[in-house]
Amino acid sequence: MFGFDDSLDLPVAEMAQRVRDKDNPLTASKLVETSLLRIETLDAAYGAFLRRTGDLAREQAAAVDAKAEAGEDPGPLAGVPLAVKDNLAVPGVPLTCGSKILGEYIPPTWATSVKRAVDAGACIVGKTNLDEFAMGSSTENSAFGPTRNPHGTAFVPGGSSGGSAAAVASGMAPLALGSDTGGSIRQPAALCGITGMKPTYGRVSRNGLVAFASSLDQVGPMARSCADARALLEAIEGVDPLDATTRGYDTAAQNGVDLGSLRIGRVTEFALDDVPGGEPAQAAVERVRSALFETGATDAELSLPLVQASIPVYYLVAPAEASSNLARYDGVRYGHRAEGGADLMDLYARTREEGFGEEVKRRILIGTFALSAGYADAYYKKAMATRAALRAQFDSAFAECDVIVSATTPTCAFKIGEKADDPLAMYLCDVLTVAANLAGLPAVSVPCGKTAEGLPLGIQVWGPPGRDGLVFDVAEQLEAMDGCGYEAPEVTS
Amino acid sequence: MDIDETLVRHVAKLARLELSDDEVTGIAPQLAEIFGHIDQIQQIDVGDMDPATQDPITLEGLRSDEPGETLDPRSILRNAPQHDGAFLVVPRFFDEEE
Amino acid sequence: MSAGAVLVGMEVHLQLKTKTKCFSASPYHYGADPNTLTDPTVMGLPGALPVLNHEAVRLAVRTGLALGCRIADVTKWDRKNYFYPDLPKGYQISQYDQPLCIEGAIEIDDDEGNPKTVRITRAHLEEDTGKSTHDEGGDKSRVDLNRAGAPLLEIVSEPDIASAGEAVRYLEALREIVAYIGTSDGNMQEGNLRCEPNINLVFENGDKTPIVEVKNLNSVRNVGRAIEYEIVRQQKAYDDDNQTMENTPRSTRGWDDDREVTVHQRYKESADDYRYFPEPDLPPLEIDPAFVETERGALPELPRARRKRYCDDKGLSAYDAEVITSDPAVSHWFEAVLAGDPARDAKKVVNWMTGELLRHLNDKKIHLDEVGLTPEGLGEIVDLEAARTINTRTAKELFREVIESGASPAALVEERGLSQVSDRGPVEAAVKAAMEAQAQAVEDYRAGNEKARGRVFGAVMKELKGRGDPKLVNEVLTELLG
Repeated sequence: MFGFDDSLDLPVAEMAQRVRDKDNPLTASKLVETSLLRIETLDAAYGAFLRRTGDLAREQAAAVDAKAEAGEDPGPLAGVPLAVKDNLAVPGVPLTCGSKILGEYIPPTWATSVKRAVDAGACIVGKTNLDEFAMGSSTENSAFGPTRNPHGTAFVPGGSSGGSAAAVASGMAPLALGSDTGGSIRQPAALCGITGMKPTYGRVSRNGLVAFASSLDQVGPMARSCADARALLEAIEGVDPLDATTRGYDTAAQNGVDLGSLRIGRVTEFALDDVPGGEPAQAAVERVRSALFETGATDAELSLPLVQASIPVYYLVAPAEASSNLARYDGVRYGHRAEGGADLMDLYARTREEGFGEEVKRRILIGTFALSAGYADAYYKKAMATRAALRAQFDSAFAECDVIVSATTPTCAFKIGEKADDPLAMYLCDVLTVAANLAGLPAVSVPCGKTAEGLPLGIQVWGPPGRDGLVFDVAEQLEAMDGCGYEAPEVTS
Repeated sequence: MDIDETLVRHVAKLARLELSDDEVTGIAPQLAEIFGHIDQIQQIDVGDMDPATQDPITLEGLRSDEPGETLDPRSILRNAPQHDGAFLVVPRFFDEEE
Repeated sequence: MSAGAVLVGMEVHLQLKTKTKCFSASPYHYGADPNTLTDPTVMGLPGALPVLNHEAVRLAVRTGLALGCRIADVTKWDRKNYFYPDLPKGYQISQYDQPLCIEGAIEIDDDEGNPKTVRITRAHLEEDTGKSTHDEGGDKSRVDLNRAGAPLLEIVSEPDIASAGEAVRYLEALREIVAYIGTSDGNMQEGNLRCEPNINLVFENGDKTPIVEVKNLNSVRNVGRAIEYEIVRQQKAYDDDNQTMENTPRSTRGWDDDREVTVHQRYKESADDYRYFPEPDLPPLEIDPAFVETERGALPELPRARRKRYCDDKGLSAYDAEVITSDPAVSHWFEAVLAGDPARDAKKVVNWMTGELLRHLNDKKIHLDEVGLTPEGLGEIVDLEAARTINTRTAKELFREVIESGASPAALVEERGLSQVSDRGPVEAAVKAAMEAQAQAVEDYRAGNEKARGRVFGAVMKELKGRGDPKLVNEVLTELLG
C-alpha cells in the first residue's frame, strides 16, 4: 500500500507473531518506523494526529525487540503501532482532549487501557485528534483544527474519535484506541470504512480516560478488521482496581450461540425509510440481513418504542454528567488560567470562557440546566427513568433475538462545515448509536460498502451486555461478505 | 420549555461560564430548539421506574485501607498555573464565598 | 415579650481514622507539608476515578451503630456540585437521599441533670475538602489539598437541643463515644471534629426566628458561647424588629473568637443549587446484614452505660465514675483490673488509679500505656492489702517499685517476705521492746499526754521493720499501755 513497506498492512496477529518470532526479520522497530514514516507523509492531508510520539514508540519497540531477542514473549500485540485518542492519559505526554483548557497539562500516570495495550506489546505512535472532550460527531470541534476523512478530504471523518478512525483507515497505524459515549467509536469507524467497537459498559477500565459522561463512556478498539479489533479488546479489557465500575465478564460463556441459527433482531424504530439520504444505509442493512438469512439465520422483528427517545435522553444524561465532570477545569490546579482575574468568580468564569469551545459550553449549559433546582425532575430524573425503561426494553428484546443488526449512521460522511451551525442536526446523527451507550450494550460497526460518491457505510451489530464476543463473531461473518470489510482509501493528494 | 436569555445567564453563572452578550444571544435560541426536541420525553410514561443504572456492589469489592503512592508535589506545582513553592495560589477569597 | 424556646440542631463533621482517603489510596494524616498527601484522584486530575475505602465504610457503620442508627441495606453516593478552590473536582462526593446510617440518638443530661435524648436524623459518609489560608489584607489565598478526600461522617441531629449547655454536652458525649469506639480522634483544634449548630427560637404564639447556621467554631466552649450569643441576638431581633422566619431568610454567621460575637456571612437563598445527582463512578453499595451484626458485636460498652453500671453495680460515686470513664484508655485499664477478679473493691481500685497512678503519670508526663504496672499488678496490690497480707505502707512502697518495673507485686511479697506481721507473739515482743526503749513516752502517755502514744507506736513499727499489722499493733499497745 502506498509503496511503503507493507508489513504494516498484515493482520495484527500475524504482524505480532512475526515480531515475536526472533528468526523472522520483522521487528517492532521496523513496524514503528514504517508507521512514523506514513504519519510523516500522509498526516498533513488528514490531520489525524495532534502529537506524534516517535521517541516513545521507538523506546517501546526497542523493549519489545529486546524481549523477543531474549526469548521472552513480548505479548500478543508485539510491535503493533497504536494510535491513542488524546483523551487517554500517557504519562509524560501532554494530554489535550482537543481543548485549550488543559493548557500544557502533562499527566503523571497511565490510562489503564493504554497501559494494558503497551504491556501486550503495542507501541504508541501518537495521540489522535477528537472533538473537544469527545463532544461531537465530526471532529470539527477540536481546538486544534478538524481531521479529514481519508476517503475524501472534504468530508468529516465522523467523531469524536475521528483522528483515530482516520489514522487506521489511512494505514498510518493498524490499531487505535477510541472512546465511545454516544457513538464516538462506531460512527467515525463507519464513516472512515473501518471496524470500531464499543464494549459492554464496565468491560474496559475508564481510569485515565478523561471523563465526558461517566455512565456512558467506554474505551474501545478501532482497527481494519474484527480480528484486529478483538485482539486489542482482549488486551485492554478486565477488572481494574482503579475503576469501581469495571466488571469481570466471562469470555468463555460467549460462545454458547450457534452462529448457524442466529435470530437477527431488526428494530422497527431503526428503519431509515423517512430519513433523507438514508437509502444507501438502509439498502446495506437489507443486503447483509439477506446474506445472513442464507446462512440459516432467522428474522426477529422487534419494536423498542423508547429507542425514539434515545436522543433526548442522551442529550440530557450526557451533558448533565459532563457539566459536573468538566467542573474541575477551573484554572486552579492545572491547565489554562485566564490572566488578571479580579476575584475568584471572575477567574473561574473567564478561564472557562476562554478555555472551552462553543460545543462544550453548549453542553455544559444544557447539563447544568437539566440538573438545576426546579428542572432536575423534569429533565435529568425523567431522562434517567426513561433510560432505565429503555434498558428494560433491550433486555426483553434480547430474549427474542441473539443480536440486533442496524446501520451505524443514517447517512455517509457529510462535508466539513455542513452542520457546523446546526447543533441539533449534528445531535440527530447519533440516533443509531446512543441507545447502546444508554443500555450499556456492546456494539461493533463494520464497513459495508460505499455510497455512489465513494464514501463508506457501516453496519452495526448489537448484543446483550457481556456478549462482546458474540457481537464480534457475527460481525466477522458480515465482514466476510461481498462488498463488506476494509478497503484502503484511494490516496488523495 | 421556554429558554430565554435570562435563564441562559442564570445557568451560565451556575456553570461559571462568562458568556458575552453575543454568545447569550446566539445560544439562547439554539438551546430553545434543542429543548424543543428534548421535551418529547415529557410525553413518555415510565411509571415508577427505578432510575438506577448500575447494579450494586458488595463490601468485598471495596478497596482495602492500604496507602498507595502519592503525587510528587513538584509535579503538582509544575502543572499549577500559580503557586508559591508549596501552596496553590488563587485570588483572595472568603470562606463563605461560593 | 416572652422569651423564645431554643431549638438547636447540630451538624457534625467527623473525620474517620483511616490510613487512606475515602475514595483513593492517598495516605492522610494531620500536619503534613502542604500538597504532599495527594494522588490523581485527590487532585481531580483528568481521568482519575474514585474507589471507595472499605475501612471508611466500616468506621462509619461502627459509629452509626454506637449512635443507635439503623444501617442501610443499600446505600449510594451522589455528587454535590459547587465551585471552590479547595474542592478539586468541582463536586464533593457525598450522600444525598440514601445515607449509610439512619435515625439514631445520643443521650445527654439536660440543664437540670435529667437524662434527655437528642435524636439523630442521619449520618452519611462523604469526602473532606482541602484547606485554604488567606493573606491578611493581601490579595491571595493559598490552597493545600492534603485534607481533600479524607473520609468524613456527617452526623445531623434533630433540633432537640434546647440550650447552650445541652449543645456542649451533646458534643462532649459524641466525642466521648467516638473516642471509646476508636473511629475518630474527635479533636476540634485539629479539625477532625467540626460542628455547625443551627439555631433558632420558637415562641408560644408560634412565631419562629430564622434559622442561623454558625460556622468557624473550633472548640466545644465556643459552640456554647456562640449559641448563648445567638439566643440573645435572635431574641432581640424578634423583640425589636419582629424578625421571623416569614420575613427573613435563613443565614450563615461566623463566630468571631476575638470579639465573641457571631457575624453575618450570607443569606442562604435558592442560589444554593448543588445539582445533586447519583455519582456515576461509584456503583451503589449493598451492606451485608451479617457485617452489620459483626460490627455491632464488636462495639465496646459505651461510656454512659458504663458510668451507670459503675454507680449501680460497683458502688462508685457519680464523681468517681465520671473521672474513671473520662478517658477511654483509663476506663479500659480500670475494666481490666476488675476483669482479673470481679470481686475486687472497685472503690479501692479507683482510689489507687486517681491517686498514685494519675499522680505518677502527671509527674512523669507519660501516658498510661507507658507505665510498667499492669492492671493485674494493681489488682494484686489491692488483693494483698484487702487480705491484710500487706499493710498500706508496704502497698505504697510496692506500688512505687512496680509502677516502672512491671514486676508482679505478689511475687515480690513472697520473695522478700514483705507480708505483714499479724501474729500476736512477735507483735507483743515488739511492743514490750518499744515500751522499754521509749520509757519516757510511756510515762508521758500514762500522765495524760495522748500524743506520746504515737511515739511508742512508731517505735513498735520500727521494731517490726514497718511490716506490723497496724490494727494488731494498736490492740496490743492498748492492752499493755493500759
